[in-house]
Amino acid sequence: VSMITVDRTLEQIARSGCHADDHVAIGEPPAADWEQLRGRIVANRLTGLAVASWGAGTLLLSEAQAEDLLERHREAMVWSLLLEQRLLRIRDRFVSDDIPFVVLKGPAVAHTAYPDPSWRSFADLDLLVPAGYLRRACSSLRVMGFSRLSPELRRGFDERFGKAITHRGPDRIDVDLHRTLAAGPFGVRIDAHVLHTSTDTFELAGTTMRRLDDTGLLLHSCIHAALGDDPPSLHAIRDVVQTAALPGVSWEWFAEQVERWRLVAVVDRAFGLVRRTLGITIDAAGELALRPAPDEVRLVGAYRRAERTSGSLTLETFRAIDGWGSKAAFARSVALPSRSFVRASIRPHAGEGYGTRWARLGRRVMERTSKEARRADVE
Amino acid sequence: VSDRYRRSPRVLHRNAGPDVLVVSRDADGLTTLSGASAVIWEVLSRPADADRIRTLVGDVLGTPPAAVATGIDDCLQELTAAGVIEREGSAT
Repeated sequence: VSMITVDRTLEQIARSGCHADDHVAIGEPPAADWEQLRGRIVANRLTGLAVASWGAGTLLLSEAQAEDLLERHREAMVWSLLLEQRLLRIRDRFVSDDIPFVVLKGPAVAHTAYPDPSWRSFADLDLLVPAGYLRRACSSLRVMGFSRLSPELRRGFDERFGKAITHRGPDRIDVDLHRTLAAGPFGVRIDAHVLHTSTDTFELAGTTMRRLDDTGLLLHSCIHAALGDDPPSLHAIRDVVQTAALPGVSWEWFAEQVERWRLVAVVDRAFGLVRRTLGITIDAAGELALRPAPDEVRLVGAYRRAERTSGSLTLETFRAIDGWGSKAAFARSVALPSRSFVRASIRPHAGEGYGTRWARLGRRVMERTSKEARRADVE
Repeated sequence: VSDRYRRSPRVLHRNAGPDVLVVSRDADGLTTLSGASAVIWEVLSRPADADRIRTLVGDVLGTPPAAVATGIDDCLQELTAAGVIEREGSAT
């Protein structure tokens, strides 16, 4: 019973401000549930919406619960501000190093799609960088004290097939340099050049930052909700609602890109999550008449499995890559990763060389892949 | 330099319940605005001169402007010194 209460309360918080039932107050959570509820509010990055609901009188809390929530929200806001401060410094560095970039997710969505950026907290920074500038962007971050978290699979992989390269700063701030918006086969299908030429701007402390245009924000929100965390984070689902309501969304352009990049099942799942989780129907979605192909639905499933591994997505990515030359380059990277990648992925036993560790890495991938195939058969 | 105050364009801010958190884009350190200073920040969503600020803050606090004038003026000075707000036309 307790779990149901917590789930229901969370969902009500996640949809607050955008649903017909908004005026119905959410009753004060039982004291025994509070710790769990608070933990999940924080994990789902809903402190801003919860505080707004409490302020509007639609979420009832005891004095102690309200104080606790405000403290967690304050922590989330301090972190978001720190991230934005770092973003401005990275922007200055990239401008001086002549590196173009587009801000994704967190700050871009918070300052564009929400009535108050305090409603949308975020944990890291995501920047879309043209493939040809990725290496230079990594160098610039390194000069700023950031370190790359894992080595490149093989030289050239990041620019051709990678999704993003994660860097960590001295203050434990993570910056993801994105080549595209999704890992695996869907990421391969997206034409990043189109994303870089379909941008708009937002203001941050008097500085103009580039972001995806409204249609791109919606598309990325759908991708993140459908292919990101499993189960999906409630803030990601709420992002779909917020970005779908942006005045600049071109539904015609949206439908065209979704069709061209074969993201129908992704968008269908994202809108389904909004409907099932928040009880909200995206009005324009009905007119899109999405009919996902069975192979796309299967692909979305490959991302969703709780123990998704590089094995299944690797195979699907190989299939999605156009051209035998590119397929061969991809297969070569996966089959023969760089020494630094193997060293970072597999802790060496005493006296063990590249070959032995490479074989152990391969066996691990194969074991995971076959386990997953068996599970898929059962399902 | 104008008589009107405005939020410094070089700061980032977030609402945190009744408080407002402010950081400068150029310097480390966090400023928490509470009580009257949070109200002044809210009032300065649009630039305003000191008289207008006193009136609006008085309205919010339910106090005649004259009764809050000294406190508001002190607050404006402190916020200006901290770089959170500035006079319109001043160098940023």
